[in-house]
Amino acid sequence: MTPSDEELTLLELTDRLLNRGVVLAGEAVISVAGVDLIYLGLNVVLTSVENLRNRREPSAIRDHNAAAG
Amino acid sequence: MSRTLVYLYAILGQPLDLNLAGIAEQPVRWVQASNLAAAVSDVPEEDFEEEPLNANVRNMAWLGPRAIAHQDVNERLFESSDAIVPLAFGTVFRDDARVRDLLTREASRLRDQLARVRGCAEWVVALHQLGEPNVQATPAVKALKTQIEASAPGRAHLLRRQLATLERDEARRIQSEAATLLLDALRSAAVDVFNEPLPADAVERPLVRASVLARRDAEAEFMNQIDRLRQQWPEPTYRLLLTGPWPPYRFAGLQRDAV
Repeated sequence: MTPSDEELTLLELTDRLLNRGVVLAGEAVISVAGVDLIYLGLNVVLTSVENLRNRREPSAIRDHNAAAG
Repeated sequence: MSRTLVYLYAILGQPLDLNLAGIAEQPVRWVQASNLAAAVSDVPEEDFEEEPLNANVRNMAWLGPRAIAHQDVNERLFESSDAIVPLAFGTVFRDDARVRDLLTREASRLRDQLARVRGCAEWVVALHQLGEPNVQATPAVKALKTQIEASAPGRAHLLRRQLATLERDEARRIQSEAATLLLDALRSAAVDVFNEPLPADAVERPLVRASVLARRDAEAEFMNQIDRLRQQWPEPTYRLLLTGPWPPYRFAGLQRDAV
């Protein structure tokens, strides 16, 4: 099963922001615990993507995968 | 808004004159120290204190719109400057003074990080295998087939059994080589490449997944390289997925000596 491009983009977005983003040690008093959304798998995304359908997708993260099918 | 905390999006070399709305439509403002500028906005304590925040991020209905707002801010900052250090989601401070403390204390490292990603964008490339690779054209399979055609029936029968094993082995070899070949090809067209670790239990596990740092003024060349790679690993056997350009979430965080 291949996720749709929309789901992929949302997964990629949360993956970048939560897992790859620059983490500052020390001064930040509050930080998100090590949540690895890739490990949570696509199920969370598949069930919750409905909630985002009416919201705007990040605009400049262009869809380069449409041509690939 | 009742009690608030300070949410940090990104750090730049200087503030930008942009009118941006961040999470919950709150205005993005600048906190400055040590010739660095932090883009921040106020967020409600009830959602962003450590305990509620760590529960909230597991709820995609809560996280989704806020992650998009975080990215929207960083995307505008990224497009309007030559270098930003984009922070991970959920970097929250008690007040502006603590943000200034951070800028002062980490000034040297932050400037290194800005220099590292200046003029560059980040891309994510993943190669998925959807079908069995075509092994018929490999030299080993071709050679064995030629041998079978030239053999007497009894020997040909034995060799045909060997052929089945050889085809399986060749398929495995092609698969394991794909990761190395793809990473090498990306390196030739990029400033830097980071081979992302693959989780063992993902629903759909790619053969390889990499973050790529590429010059923004050489995007056309990078896209040409991606086109060539799509020809090298064609559908429907493979699928090469590309997203970007991202602010350098991955590369601005990497220490120089860790790459």
